[in-house]
Amino acid sequence: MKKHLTLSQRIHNAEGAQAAEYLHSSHSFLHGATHCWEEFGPLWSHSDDVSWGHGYGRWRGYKGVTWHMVSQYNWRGMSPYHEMYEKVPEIIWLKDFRSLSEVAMHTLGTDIVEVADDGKTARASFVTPGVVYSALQPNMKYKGGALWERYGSDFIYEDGEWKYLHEQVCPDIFGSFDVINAGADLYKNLVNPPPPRPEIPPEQLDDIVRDRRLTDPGPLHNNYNPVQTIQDTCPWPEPYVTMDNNNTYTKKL
Amino acid sequence: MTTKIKKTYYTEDERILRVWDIEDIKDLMGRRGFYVASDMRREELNDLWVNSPKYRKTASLGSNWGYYVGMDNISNYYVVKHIADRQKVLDAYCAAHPGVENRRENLGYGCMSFHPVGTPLVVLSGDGYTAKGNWYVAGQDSTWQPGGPAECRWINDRLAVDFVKENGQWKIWHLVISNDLQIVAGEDLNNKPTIPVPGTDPIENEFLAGNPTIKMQTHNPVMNWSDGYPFFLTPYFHFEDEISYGPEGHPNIDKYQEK
Repeated sequence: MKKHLTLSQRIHNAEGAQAAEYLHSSHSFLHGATHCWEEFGPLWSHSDDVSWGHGYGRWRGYKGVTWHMVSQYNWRGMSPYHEMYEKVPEIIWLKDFRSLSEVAMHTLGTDIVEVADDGKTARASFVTPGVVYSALQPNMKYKGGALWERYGSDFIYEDGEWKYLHEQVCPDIFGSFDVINAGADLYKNLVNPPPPRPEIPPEQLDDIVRDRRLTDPGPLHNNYNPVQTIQDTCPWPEPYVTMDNNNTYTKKL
Repeated sequence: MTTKIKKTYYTEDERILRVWDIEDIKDLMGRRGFYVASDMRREELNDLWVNSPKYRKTASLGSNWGYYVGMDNISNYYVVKHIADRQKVLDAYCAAHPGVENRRENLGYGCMSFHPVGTPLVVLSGDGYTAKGNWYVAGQDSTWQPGGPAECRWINDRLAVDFVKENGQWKIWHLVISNDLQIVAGEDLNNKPTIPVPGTDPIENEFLAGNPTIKMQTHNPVMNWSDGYPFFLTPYFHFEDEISYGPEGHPNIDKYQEK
């Protein structure tokens, strides 16, 4: 209980705590349907301070974040359409093709939410024991898997509304529902490594990095591995007064 | 936007009550998860669902295959039929295990349903009389099978719910349990048909066996979430049929009624 705050400030901060949960749950459902614009249009700040990060790196600024999370992700969601149309013509009657690729439903739990004493920002941690599935795929095989990740999220009170500001995604394990045993599978891969992927020529690698337009190339977090130390790459938020480089999931450069 | 929770026309008293309402609603759905896990379906309907005649008549329980409408129909399916199904399992169990007594207290022997709710997304109406919510369930059902171990299924459901305040308490008015995925634990997914063979889905068979008030396909999980139902929540001021998670709010209800 922050008794040093006035009743009005405490009410404002209680609303902020609920808004943090609302915004992250909205993200989960909209991302599950690949409704990227419905998320990044109204729910995010449009400022240069926004960021979205994954294990492989981070984008800073609204332009870069939406390039990756809207333009690229929408295309990915709809990409199987033409191949599947050949096999299942009924899909032409669908209301929205963006969910055809898969449903990546990052369910949320283990919430920790803190609102700054100044009432201008909020910070939250979540764990997702998520599911990724698709009944209809171009290879006509069923896909279903479990994906466990940690999230660090910052929110900002902007023009009278709470908005998403930063998101850091830290994936830990992923595996198919029918066979998942993450630790054992990864250990077997270490003992008997699968054939290496074809090496990418340096000039193409540069293209990939440039095409991705990452602002902060990773790794920012590594998937679980039986031979690495425990990671704390997105620590939970502690009570704080105002957002600064000690209380943020994206430090200012 | 609902994120614009602070509205200039709410007093501070109203604002904190609205915060509290959302917490009450999350608490209500958490309780429902425990009622389901405890197989307390009769108690769930009595304690958590609408009670007044006005809302009992229009209450609904929906799934991918239609709706039960009215609390009596919901009860006949959700409670009476369920107990009869549990009794059949118990009869078979007792026949195979003479040490287990065939009495009411043993209903549910060898069975478990655990549907924990997460990802709470609650929208309180501007007028404060109703609310809507979405949750996601990554759950499981286990049912004892004659002659063998229990059949365990992973169950993924999206819950879409309308709530109404009755005598100062939030109650479930419309509930859609929209199933996305159900697979037998350990099942080789390469052998699971992408388009199910009609009549082989156990959840569909169980729902239809109760003779729902409205039989219609509300959601086809084969198409992932591309069919747009249950629709996503948007902020609203006053509840209307068009935004209901009852059958009247389904985008294809007119086609069903024309039939």
